[in-house]
Amino acid sequence: MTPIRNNTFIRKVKDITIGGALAVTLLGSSIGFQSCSSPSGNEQEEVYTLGVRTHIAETEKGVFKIMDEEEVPVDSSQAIVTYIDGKRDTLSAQAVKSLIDHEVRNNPQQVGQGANLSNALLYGGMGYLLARTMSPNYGNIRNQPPAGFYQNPSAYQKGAGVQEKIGNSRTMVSRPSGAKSGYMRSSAGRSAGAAS
Amino acid sequence: MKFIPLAKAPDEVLNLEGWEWMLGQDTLPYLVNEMVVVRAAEAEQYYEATNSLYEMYCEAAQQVIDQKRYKELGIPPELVPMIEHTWENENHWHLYGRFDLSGGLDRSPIKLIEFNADTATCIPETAIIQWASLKANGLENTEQFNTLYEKLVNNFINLKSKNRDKEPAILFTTMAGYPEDDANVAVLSEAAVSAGFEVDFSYMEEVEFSEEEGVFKANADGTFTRFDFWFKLVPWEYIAWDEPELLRILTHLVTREKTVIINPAYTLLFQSKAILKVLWEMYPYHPLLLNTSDKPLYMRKNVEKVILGREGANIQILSSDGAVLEARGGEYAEQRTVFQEYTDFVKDPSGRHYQAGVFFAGEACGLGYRRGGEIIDNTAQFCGHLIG
Repeated sequence: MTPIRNNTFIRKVKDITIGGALAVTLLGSSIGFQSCSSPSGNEQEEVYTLGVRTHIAETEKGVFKIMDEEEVPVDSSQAIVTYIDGKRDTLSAQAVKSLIDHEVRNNPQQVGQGANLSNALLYGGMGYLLARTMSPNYGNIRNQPPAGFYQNPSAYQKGAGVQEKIGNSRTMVSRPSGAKSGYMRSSAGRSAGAAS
Repeated sequence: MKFIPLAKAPDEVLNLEGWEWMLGQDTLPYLVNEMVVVRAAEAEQYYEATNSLYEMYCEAAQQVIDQKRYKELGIPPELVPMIEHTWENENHWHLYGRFDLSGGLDRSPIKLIEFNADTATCIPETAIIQWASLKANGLENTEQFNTLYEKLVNNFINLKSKNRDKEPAILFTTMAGYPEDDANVAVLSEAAVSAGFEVDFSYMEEVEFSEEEGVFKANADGTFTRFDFWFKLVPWEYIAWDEPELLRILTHLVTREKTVIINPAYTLLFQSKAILKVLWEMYPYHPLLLNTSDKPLYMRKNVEKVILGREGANIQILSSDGAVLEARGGEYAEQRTVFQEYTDFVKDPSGRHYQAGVFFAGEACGLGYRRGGEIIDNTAQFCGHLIG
């Protein structure tokens, strides 16, 4: 709440910055949100059409890194974990959630600390997706820079791209559950109305 | 007061630059083709005053919340949970507001008239038009108290960084039929894009609200896109008074951190004119404040205002013996009122009154003037400034 003062409030006209694209008409134009062509077959609450498949490997004993992530239809979201002994697990979003929740409950001090499996799940695309769907509280728990949980910068870059695509797939073909519109119709005639 | 005339009038500039869409037709005639010359020291005083007032408003709001003085402020009780939630949680960031001030020029002291904290307008005029006017008149090297656009961008960046768990996409909303409001939102929306948000627009009656899933834009192709941020140039009290069901949905979405609504609900505390009385109680005789009470001020000319009126509606000026000297009607007549000590606006030689509007977005960041009669209402003109 405390104002941030920098005492540069007076500017030369030539130094005043205004958004370069202001000449572009914003209203009424279709600013495209890419709607995904493969709608989810799930229930209404599935707001995202895209999800993630994340590949995690145990690179040394107890150290788990995200090797690769790719976007998939949201109901195919999964984490594929390869252990150092060559065994593989495929975890559904629900299983990932259970695993993370278990860690958060039982080893809270480990959350975000160290390259364990739970952190690789939480800080990768799976955690991102869960934070936006089943587990909004993950948004607050994910408070470390995520890059370190990936095998290398290019895996991180790719993962970030997948997250962006998931974010852009918030469009649904069916009406959101219980959604209503038409509010304030009767108020529209207020004189000197909305603003001040 | 000093003025400089503008060879190229602001509306001419707009046509030249292709920005006429920004203002809306009913707004155009109100731009004035001269500018107030403000001294750097005067601008500094506006800046300091506005920053101090914001801090005082925060203190006053804290007291209102601590002492639950909502009724006194005319706050609909159904809004209280959202007000308290957004006040407590910093991710519900106050994007911007505009302080209306008297004085500030010709050595007359700055006095707070009110704070438009929820749905303030005059953004295009302050941020763009007065700047473009100077530019178009070849006054590139003159100065202006105007970092409004830049500060809005900064505040959007702030908002994004405080809400990392949400999708950075804002749906902007106005009530249909007010092109001026659309123009204000267009500038905000541009600032949001500069800050890295996706943006889109829907008129109020078209927005889809789902208690479970959030705020959606209904797209032309029949699909629905969710927005985790919703900017509404619709007063909170209208929503509370007219749409209790919607208010219930919004309370659910905000308190469960599904959606961030801008400006946050607590800005209605700032907006209520009854907070002027709280400020006077907390800071009696503060040089920036005017005595304000819920009863007419004894032996003094005062201004009676409804506590949640907007744009000069339902205001009357009373003489020291209580006679009505001037009055504006409106549709808020049933509300309670406060009485604020009368103060003179700065006047030009033709007797027109000037009220300063100073925007606050993280700090004081833009000055403009409304000029009109003794009550500055929605018929007032806009007059830009330069530092000289």
